[in-house]
Amino acid sequence: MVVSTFHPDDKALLAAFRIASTKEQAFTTILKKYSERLYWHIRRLVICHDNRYDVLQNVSIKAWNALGTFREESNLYTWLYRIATNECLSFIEGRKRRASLSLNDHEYSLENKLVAEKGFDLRKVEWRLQQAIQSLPEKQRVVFNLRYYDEMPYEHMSEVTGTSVGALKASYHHAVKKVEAFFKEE
Amino acid sequence: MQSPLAGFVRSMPYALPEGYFDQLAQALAQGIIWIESEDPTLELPRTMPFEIPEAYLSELPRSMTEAAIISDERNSRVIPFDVPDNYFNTLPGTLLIAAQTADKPATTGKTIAFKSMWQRKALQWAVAAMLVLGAGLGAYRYTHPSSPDAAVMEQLARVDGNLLNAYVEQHIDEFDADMLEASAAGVHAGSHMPISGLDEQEIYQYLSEEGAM
Repeated sequence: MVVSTFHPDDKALLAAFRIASTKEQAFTTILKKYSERLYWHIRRLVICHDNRYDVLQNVSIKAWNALGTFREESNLYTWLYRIATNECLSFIEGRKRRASLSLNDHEYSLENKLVAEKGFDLRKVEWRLQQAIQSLPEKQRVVFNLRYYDEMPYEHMSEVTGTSVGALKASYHHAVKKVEAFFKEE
Repeated sequence: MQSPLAGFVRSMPYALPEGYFDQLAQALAQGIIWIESEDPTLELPRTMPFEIPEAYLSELPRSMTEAAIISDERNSRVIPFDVPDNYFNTLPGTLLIAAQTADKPATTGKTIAFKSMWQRKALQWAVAAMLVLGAGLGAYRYTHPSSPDAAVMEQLARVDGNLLNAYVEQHIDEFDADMLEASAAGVHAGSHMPISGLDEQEIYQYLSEEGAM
């Protein structure tokens, strides 16, 4: 059973958000606390810096609209991560649909976006790791990123993804095996 | 009552990779082992290679808040129009009275009868058949002209030449010279010659030239 501990600072911020005069300031403070983590989580999934803008904007709008009725059953940051993850998956799905309709489907490929990134260098292991991660299925990519880069506990990851802890552990093991196999093939 | 599913096959039509069930138990067992064990370690860096614009992350909270507020303001626009007091309470009754007392149209609209699908199909087939029949008849008439003269000439052409000569010799005296002359006048207008001026030798010569003998 997941035991979520709502951070006291987050509690105070939430209370301030529910007051009209302090709503905007509370929201900005929450974002100061979590926006960098959210940015990198989104960037790892959508790659391109320009793409992150649409996703981040949607995350902030949804958070603004729903924070007033947030029930504090989970951590605030896992709640924000959940919104960001769903927005990223929707964005990726939208790109796939556009790619299937477009003659220039290579434009929409995330792998091609990675190669086009400024400073891309296959000699550097960080870039090769990103290539390996892009070869994973989307949900496995989410699990790998949350565990490997954010070092998120499986219980919190379960709140973000809506998947059981056991399935997440198995998924992470699978993902690591695939990344290792990717490096062995080179 | 016999079920329509009684005679159906019960095998599944789905395709599976070869040897799937042989590996399934092992894969499931491996999954259980992973769940119970520690995370595998990856000896790889955790730094992100992506570049970001300078001061971007410091400005991010403010820009996200602004985006949320702008979106909120767009969704909650105030309509500047004034509405009379009690207007919406009386609106349903007003509309009902207006509908009941409205003049009926002077003429009824044109009624469009919808043909059923099978009637339209039958009509289409009938039109196509008539077109084909018409084209066929036209082609037949073109290749088989049916003028009376063409039929008679065709029949005469089939008659043996010797038979024709024999008939003419036997009945030459019966032919009225004036009648012959009158019937031939329209055909040989340019070379008109009275038949009464011809003798038998000239007639035989004519017939042989024409191929009747």
